[in-house]
Amino acid sequence: MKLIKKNRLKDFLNTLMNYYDVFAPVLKHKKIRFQKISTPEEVILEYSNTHNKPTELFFPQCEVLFEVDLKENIPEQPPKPDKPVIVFGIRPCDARSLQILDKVFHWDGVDDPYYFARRNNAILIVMGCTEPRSTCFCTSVGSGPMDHNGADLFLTELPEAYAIEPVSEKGKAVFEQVNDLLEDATEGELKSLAELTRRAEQMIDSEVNLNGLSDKLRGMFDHPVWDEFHLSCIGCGTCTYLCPTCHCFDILDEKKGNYVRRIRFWDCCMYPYFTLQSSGHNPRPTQKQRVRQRVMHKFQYFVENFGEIACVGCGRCILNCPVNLDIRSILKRLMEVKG
Amino acid sequence: MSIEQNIREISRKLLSDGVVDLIIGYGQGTLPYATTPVFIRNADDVEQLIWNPCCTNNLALYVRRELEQANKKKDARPLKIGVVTKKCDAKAMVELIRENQLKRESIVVIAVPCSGMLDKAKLHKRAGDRELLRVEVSGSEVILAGRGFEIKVNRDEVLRDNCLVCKDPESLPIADEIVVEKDDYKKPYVEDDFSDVKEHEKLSPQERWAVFRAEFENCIRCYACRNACPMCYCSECFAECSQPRWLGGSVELKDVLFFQIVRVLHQAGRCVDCGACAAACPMDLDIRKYTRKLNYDALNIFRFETGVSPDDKPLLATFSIDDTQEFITEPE
Ligand code: SF4
Ligand code: SF4
Ligand code: SF4
Ligand code: SF4
Ligand code: SF4
Repeated sequence: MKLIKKNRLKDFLNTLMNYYDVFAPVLKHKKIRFQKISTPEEVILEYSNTHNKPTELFFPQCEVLFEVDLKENIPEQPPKPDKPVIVFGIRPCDARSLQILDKVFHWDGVDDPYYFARRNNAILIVMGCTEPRSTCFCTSVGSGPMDHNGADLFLTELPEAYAIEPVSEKGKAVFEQVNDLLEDATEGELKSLAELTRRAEQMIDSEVNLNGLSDKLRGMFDHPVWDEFHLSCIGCGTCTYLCPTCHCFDILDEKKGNYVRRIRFWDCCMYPYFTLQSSGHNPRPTQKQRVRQRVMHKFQYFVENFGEIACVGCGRCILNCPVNLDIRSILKRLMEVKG
Repeated sequence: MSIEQNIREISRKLLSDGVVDLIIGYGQGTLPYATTPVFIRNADDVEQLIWNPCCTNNLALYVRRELEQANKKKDARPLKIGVVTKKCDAKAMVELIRENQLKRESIVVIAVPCSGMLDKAKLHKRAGDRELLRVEVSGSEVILAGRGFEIKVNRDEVLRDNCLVCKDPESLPIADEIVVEKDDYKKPYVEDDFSDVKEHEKLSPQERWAVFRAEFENCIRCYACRNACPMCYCSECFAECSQPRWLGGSVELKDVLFFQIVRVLHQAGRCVDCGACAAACPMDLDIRKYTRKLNYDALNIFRFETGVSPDDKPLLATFSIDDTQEFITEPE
C-alpha cells in the first residue's frame, strides 16, 4: 500500500496540474462546490461532501448544444475540452452517481456526445468518507463510505497521510505520474487504514431497509399512501437540482439577431410545467403526482430500466429541502404500508 | 402549560367542535434545526403539532393553496382552516385578504406569541460549519452540538435578521384564538432604520451592479425563493410563461438576474418581510436586501406598510393626487 504524506499533498496537486485540469472542492460564496483550481491552496479538505452536485461538471445546468449564424448559415460546435481532467476529492456516492448517469446518457446504445466528451476525458480521484454525515444513507442503497466502485484512484485520509490505491487502468497511469511523491505505508498506517475503513461503515447511522421496494412499488401507483407526502411540498425543485442522479433536461432555441443557439438545461419533475403539453393537457397536474413521480422514478422505473436504484444516499435533498420533506421518511413509510 | 400544549388544545377543540376542517401547523422535522408543515384533519392527531424557534416556513402559502383547491370542487361545503400563526404569517394573510386571494371567514387564526426564529445559516456558521446533530434552546441560550463539540451561543445572536426588526410579535393584525402561554425568552427588538438600504443606495450604479452580480451569479434558479413566498401565487409565473417567453432558459447572469429583478419588483408594496424566501434559498443568497429596498420605498415614499389591516387597499391599488412622483425617471 502506498501513501502520500499530508505535507506533500500540495506537490501532489501541483504535479497533477501539470498534466490535467484539476477540479476540486473549493469555497464559492459560502458553499463548497467543485471548481477548476489554479493553486492547491484553494482546495478545501475538511468537507463532508460538497453542497452542489459534482455531476454538474459532466452534465452542466445549462450548455450550448450548437450555435448558428443565420447569415452565414454555418453551425458552430461549442469548443471541446483539450486537456484531460482530474476530479479530485469526489465522494464515493457521487462517483457512483456518475455510473448511474452513464446509463441514462447511453440509453439504447447511443452515447450522448456532450456528456461523454467530458466523461471520457475525466479521471476520478475519490476520497473515502471517514466522517459521514448523519443524513448519509449510502449503505442502504448498495454502496458505502469506502465504496471503490466508480473510482479511478481511491484515497483514504489517515492521521498524517492519504492512503492511495489505483482502481482502474486510468488510475494506474496517474499513479505512475505521481510515483515519486509516494511512500510505502508502515505497519501502523495499514492498521489505521483498516480501522478507519471499518469505523466509517459503522458511523453511518441512517439506514433504510429497501429490500423488495421496487417490486412492491410496481403495484402501488394508485395506493392511498401517496396522499400523505405531498402536502408540505412547495414544488421548489431544490431536491432535484442538488441531486447527483437527477438528469432531466429541457431544450430551447434562443435567437438574437442573426445569432441562434440551441441550449439544454436542467428541468425538474417537481415543477407543474415539466409535463405541460402544447395542447394544454398536463398529465401530472397535481403536486401529489409529481412527488410520486420523483420517488417512483428513482426507486421503481429506474430499477426496471437500468437494474439499479437512482439514489446514492448522499442526503443533499434531505439537508436542503426548505420544508424538510425527508426522502428517508417517505421510503420507510412505503416499506411499512401494505402494498 | 407550554405554548405547544396550548396550540394543541385550541386545535383539538376547533376540530372536535367542527369549527374547522383542517389545522395547518408545524410538526417534528428530521433535522435538528427543522420543522415540517403538517396538515391535521383529525382531533386525535393534534399531538403532531409542535412549537419551537424553528417554525420558519410561512404557512399562509398553504392556506391559500388549500382554499383554492377546495373551491375548485363544486358543491363541496366551503373549507375552513385553522392556522398556527406567527405575526409574519398573519401579515401575509392580511395581504392575501386584501388581494382577494383569501376570505377572512375561511380562516381561524390561532395567534402564537412568537419570539423569533433561528437562522439556519447563522447556526451553521457558529458551529464552524461542522454538522449539527443537536440544537437545544433554553431561555436565552442555544446549545449547538455535533460530533466532538458542544457550544453555547446567545439566542439573540442566531435569530434571523427579519425577526430582529419585527415589532411586537405578540400582537397580530388578525387573530381569532389566542395562545396565552408565553415563552420565557423575549426577543430583542431593533428599530429598523434601513441603514443597510441607505448605504446600498449611496453606491454608484456600477457598484450596485457588482454587488448584485456577486450574489446572483451563484443562483441555481431553483425557484425556492418564489415557491416559499406566500405572496408569489400567480397561476402562471412570468418565469415559466412560454407565450411570450420573457426569460431564457439558462443560468447565465442575464437570465438569473432578470428572474430575480422581476420577482423582487413584483413584491413592491406586498412583501411582508417574513424571511421565508431567504430561509428557503439553498444557496444562502442575500435576497432579502432587495425586497427590503422596496419596503423602504413604500414606507418612505407612500408611508405604506404591509400587513397592517385587511380592510385597507393594497398599495398598488391606490392612487392619490398627492402621491409623489419623484421615482418616475425619464430615460437619459
Ligand atoms: S425540495 Fe422539498 S419542497 Fe422543494 S420540491 Fe423538493 S420535496 Fe418539494
Ligand atoms: S434522492 Fe436525495 S439522497 Fe438520493 S441521490 Fe438524490 S439528493 Fe442524494
Ligand atoms: S453518502 Fe456515503 S459516500 Fe456519500 S458522502 Fe455520505 S458517507 Fe460518503
Ligand atoms: S432560491 Fe436562491 S438559488 Fe433558488 S432561484 Fe431563488 S435565489 Fe436562486
Ligand atoms: S418576498 Fe420573501 S420576505 Fe417577502 S413575503 Fe415573500 S417570502 Fe416573505
